Amino acid sequence: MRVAVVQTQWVDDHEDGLRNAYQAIEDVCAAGDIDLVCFPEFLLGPPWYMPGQDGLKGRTDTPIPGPIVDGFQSLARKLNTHILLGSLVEDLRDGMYRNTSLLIGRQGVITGRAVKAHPFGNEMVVCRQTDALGVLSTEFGQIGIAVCSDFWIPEVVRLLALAGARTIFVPGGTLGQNQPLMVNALRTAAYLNDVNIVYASSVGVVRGKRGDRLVEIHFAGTSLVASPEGVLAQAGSDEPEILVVDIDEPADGDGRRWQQLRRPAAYQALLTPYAGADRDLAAELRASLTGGGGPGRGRPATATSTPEGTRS
Amino acid sequence: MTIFVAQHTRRATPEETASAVLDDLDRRVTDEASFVVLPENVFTTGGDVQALPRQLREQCLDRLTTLARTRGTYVLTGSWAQTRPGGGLTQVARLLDPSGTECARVERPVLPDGTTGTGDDFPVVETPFGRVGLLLGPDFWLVEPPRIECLAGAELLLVAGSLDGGQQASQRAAVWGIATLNTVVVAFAGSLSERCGGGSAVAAPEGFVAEAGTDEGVIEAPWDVERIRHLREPDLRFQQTLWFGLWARRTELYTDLTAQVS
Repeated sequence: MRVAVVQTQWVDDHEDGLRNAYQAIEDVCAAGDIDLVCFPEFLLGPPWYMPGQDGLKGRTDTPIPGPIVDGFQSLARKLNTHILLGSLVEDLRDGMYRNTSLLIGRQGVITGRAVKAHPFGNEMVVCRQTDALGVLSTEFGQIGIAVCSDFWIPEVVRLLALAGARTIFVPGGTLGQNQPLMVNALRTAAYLNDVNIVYASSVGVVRGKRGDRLVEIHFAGTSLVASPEGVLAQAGSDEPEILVVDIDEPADGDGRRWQQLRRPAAYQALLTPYAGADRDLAAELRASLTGGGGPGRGRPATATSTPEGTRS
Repeated sequence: MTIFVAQHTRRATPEETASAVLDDLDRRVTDEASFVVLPENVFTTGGDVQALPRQLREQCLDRLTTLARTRGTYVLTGSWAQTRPGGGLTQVARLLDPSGTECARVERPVLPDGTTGTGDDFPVVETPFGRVGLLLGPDFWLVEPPRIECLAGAELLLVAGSLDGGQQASQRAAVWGIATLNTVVVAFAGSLSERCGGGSAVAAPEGFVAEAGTDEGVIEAPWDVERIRHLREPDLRFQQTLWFGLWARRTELYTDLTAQVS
């Protein structure tokens, strides 16, 4: 499978983001046979529910199917390639949304989708999450998709690997301060689970306000493809970039050996919450959205003018 | 507070290996020690796995008990093979407390190919220095046992381990990766032999604190339990995000992990 991983740049105008995505597909497919073009989470730019991005509501969210997806379907058909739309803010038309990754096949048909299972930040309040994690059957065999922070729950990649996925796509966005450990964690997940990991990320800065706090989030790219043996290709941190990588199914390695030693009946504790989880984070976020105090470390704190967010 | 991790080359006889390891620990471990960690199969020769002779076993345990008492430290003894009452071999690793008393133990079967099997008990021990999880052999390389211990509150994983896979560069990197994915510090001890590539290390979520590589010796690293507690505390401003992997779980989605599948 020849995969093109498109590292996008978040831009102020999502129409520009869309045009850039179309152009990236055209360019990379013109340069060679590409089986699958993979985009990061929120390929069009920041979701409207990020702090300070309220003005994007109705613009970066979209129904599925809908006009934005139609354009990608046409491109897939025209260029005879698969397109993995890392994620879009899916407008469910009932006041709720989902963070949805779509797989479009060579004929332009939506052949699979994965909805983010573990909400991050305001997603806890405005998004519905999936009720099931599963693999998708493709001409490349079974693949898995772990949308963004789903990756940070090791159970997700493990479940997809045990369900037969040999390649797992992770549409995400590297936070500046997480960059080195993110790369190594992706590599580790590939090794322990004996799978390939295809990770697509963005670059760019988002600024906004939550209450009277300044929010500034830096995305640090580092899109990559990893096999159980290590990182095969890795993008930089500052610019849009496209990685083109040929991926083979991994040969059975250490990870497969470890999996054969599993004792599933002994793992019931995985079905219980973390012993230290003693707060209702969704309620805290809800309160922050309705002026009940800004969320901070520890118990909810009153708003201050301290900058928040992630800085590289 | 400091963690000490032993990494030594296996000698021609178990007695020589034991002497090399224990003498080095006596020289290097200071009163600052809060934990000392030894590897899986710590006193063998690198050949076939055999039961450690009873007298040597007792001598080794006695010296490690003395180390725990004199330095006021917890000691994960590493493991050695013992004969099970019904026959067959089992690897046994003990955690000694600063009084020299065994406060936890992990036993795993020795498989027909000489490697160590996995188990179904994943102990977490409350200590004055923080909550520690014990792992022996390949349990560490499975996703589930380290995860279960961290979900139960372990802030430090003491691993009597071995870098014996076919993909040792990935294996070495995964010591750090497992620390990141579970927001925990990992103190991993391995030995050096034809099959085992060392790799002893202390890894925090953000990176390695100390690494032995393939050098023989005893590495040391600071232990700051408050740092782990800080990283695990939700920060909804997202200046820190590692807490997410522990807090944001949806347990109803994970039932297939406990099902026996082909």
